[in-house]
Amino acid sequence: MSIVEQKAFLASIHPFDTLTSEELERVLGAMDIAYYPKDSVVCDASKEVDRLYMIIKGSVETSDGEGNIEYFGTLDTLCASELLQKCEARTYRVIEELLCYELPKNLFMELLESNEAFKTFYLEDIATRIQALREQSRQTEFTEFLTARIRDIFIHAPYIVEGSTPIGKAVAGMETAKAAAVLVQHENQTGIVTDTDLRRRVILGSVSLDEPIGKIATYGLVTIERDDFLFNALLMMTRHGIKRLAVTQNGEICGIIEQIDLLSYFSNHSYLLSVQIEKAHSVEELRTVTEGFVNIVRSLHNKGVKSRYIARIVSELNTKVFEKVFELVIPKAWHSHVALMVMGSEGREEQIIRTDQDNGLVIENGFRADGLEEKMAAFSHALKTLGFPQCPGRVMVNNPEWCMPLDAFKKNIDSWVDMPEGEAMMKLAILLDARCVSGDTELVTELRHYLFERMSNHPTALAIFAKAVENFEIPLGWMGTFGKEQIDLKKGGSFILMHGIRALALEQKIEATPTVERIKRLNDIGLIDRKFATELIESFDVILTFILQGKLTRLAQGKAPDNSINLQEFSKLERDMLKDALKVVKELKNFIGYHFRLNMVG
Amino acid sequence: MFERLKRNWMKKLLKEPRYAFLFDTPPKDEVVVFDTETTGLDIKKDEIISIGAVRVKGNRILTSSQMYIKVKCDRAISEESIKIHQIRVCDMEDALDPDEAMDRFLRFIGPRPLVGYYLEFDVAMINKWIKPKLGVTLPNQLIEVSALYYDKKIGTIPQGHVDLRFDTIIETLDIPKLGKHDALNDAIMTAMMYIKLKHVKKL
Repeated sequence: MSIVEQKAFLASIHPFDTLTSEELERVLGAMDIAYYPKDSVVCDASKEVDRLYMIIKGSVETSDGEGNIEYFGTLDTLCASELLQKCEARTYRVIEELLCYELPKNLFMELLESNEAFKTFYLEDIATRIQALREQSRQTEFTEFLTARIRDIFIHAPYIVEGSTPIGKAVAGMETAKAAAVLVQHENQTGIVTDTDLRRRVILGSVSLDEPIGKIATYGLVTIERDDFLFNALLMMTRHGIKRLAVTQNGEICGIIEQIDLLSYFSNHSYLLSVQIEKAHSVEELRTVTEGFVNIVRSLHNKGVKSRYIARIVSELNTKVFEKVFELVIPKAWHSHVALMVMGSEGREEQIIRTDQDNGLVIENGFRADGLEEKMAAFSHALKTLGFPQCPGRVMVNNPEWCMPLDAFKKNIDSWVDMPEGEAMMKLAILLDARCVSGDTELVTELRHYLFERMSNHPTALAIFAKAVENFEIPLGWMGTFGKEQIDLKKGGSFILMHGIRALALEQKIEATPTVERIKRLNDIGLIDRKFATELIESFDVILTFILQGKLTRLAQGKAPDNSINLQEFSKLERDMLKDALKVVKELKNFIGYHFRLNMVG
Repeated sequence: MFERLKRNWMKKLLKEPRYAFLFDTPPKDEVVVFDTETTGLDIKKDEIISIGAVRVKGNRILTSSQMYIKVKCDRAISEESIKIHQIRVCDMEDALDPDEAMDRFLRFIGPRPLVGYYLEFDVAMINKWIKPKLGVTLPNQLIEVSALYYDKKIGTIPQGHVDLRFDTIIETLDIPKLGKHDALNDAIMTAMMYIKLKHVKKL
């Protein structure tokens, strides 16, 4: 039935998917399809709006009194705000010929009354909407979590011996094969011998190493099919109180899974990794650990964990890596006289996929570090080996400009503040996000306080610092109709938000470096209200999530990760989220503009 | 002129005065787009299974006044046609008697011009049915979208061969596919073609 067909289409448009079947029927019975050629006007600011429009194909632009242009494309609805009298009537012009559904105003109003979820979509503020949208996309991710199968995790190759094999020989074989348990074939049945059995029966018991291993095996092996759910494996282990299961494929044993692998799949193995980092004795050993970072990020992202939490976990791990490299490379005698700091996104704890290394070393005034250059070269090289790419701006310890005594740093700050031009401000911004990871924290704290002091009584420098938010346009003109399917979400989104907040944090002498923390502080001191703070945090998270998604996709394709996203691959839901988030960025940009009086600095 | 004479002459032949409205002056700017599903492609033997129709006024497809009816037929639906329009024998339970279906259809279209894709076939199927009852065939003006399309396209193609397949036209005109082919969906898509073709000068 084609009525069903149209209904399905309508139900795929958010928020119409929240309507009951009966409500959808009413919509269908009242809806027309209209065609508007390119450049024609869909509705005019001078006329009363009498219907709601839903775009089937094509795109439309409108601008408000302040000259902000907004674009709408496939599956977007037009004129909802006007109908709800939340904004003045606007003129909508067709930029790509348009086919749209039209729904009479009175029915739209009735739906708002009869359906709470539908109403929420149109009336709630952006943060609430983003939350609601997120819930929707989460559901699919959660099911993924429930549908993981045995074959998705690491299955240990089985180590199988005959029951007649002497225990000593079997254990030696276990060692060679690095097996945690041995499977025993004995008189047509399969048993298992674990470390626990060896401890109890051989070491503490009376069984000698020469006796056949079949004697101490446990029979009646608990097995699970390779295609079964991980969940069931977890349940079986719990039920039988065991740590291992034999995995079968068509009834034949093909491997063993360990409880630890299961648990690490279900939590994430960040804990395991941090233990491994601490235990590492060389850069080489560290490297095997850091290679697993991307997989953790991917699995956390797939489980629907918010990007800012993923960033926190990754940042914890990276900090541990830096500490370790510091320990391996920097002589112990230096440790209380120098401070290793990470800056930029690493300093803000926002670097999820490694893009570059921004780090520096502050040296106590008067401390003599012999062989400094060589040590610093080794440090930077070690990080490069571990997959932290070189910083194009050379903000690294092997660059003397970022590795010097405290007083020399202070001198630099003086010169930056006195001559506040583009590059100086960029360096200042990098230093502002500095976070100490090893050595004497006091050195970094003192440096940052000095920076706050020097900048805060210098309004012109502050304004020039903040002005960087105007370097990029917010890409709210994206519909795929402009041939701009690729947009850079860092330049037009996260950078503006992050830097705007950074400028405010500098002005208010806020200690915290992460953007989200800074927003919370700014709200505490009353500079921005609670609603705006929440919207900013949520929007920042949304943009980070999309950037992360893009990077993971590109990594999976074997390409270099960048910050661009392809709108063609976005679902309607995602586009709505992004649009809302970018609106918030725009609001912040305007706020920064008049707060720092940016129109007064050249 | 000739058109009007023909209509008047046909009106005299009309056996059923209650259908005189078919000869009224059509409302300005309105047409009806329609499509039928049939048991097969043989006009003599096959029968109509369903009719989908939608009115168009100016640049708007009035989906709020659309029509979709199924018609009882004596002939078994061939397996081939079941595959195409996915109407199975059991789907025909709410089908109308042919006479009632015809009456609803004629009242829906009134005197409006009819638009369709390979309309000739659909109109022949309808005429086969109404000619014995009314004494006349459909008097409405007929507009063939594939002909409109051909006229706009022929100028751009040097060899003069124009692909007129339904799906090709849909793609060329960049019309959204509404999912499966049934009489109403096809009628709505045809309506989109018609409106778009009115606006393009050349393809």
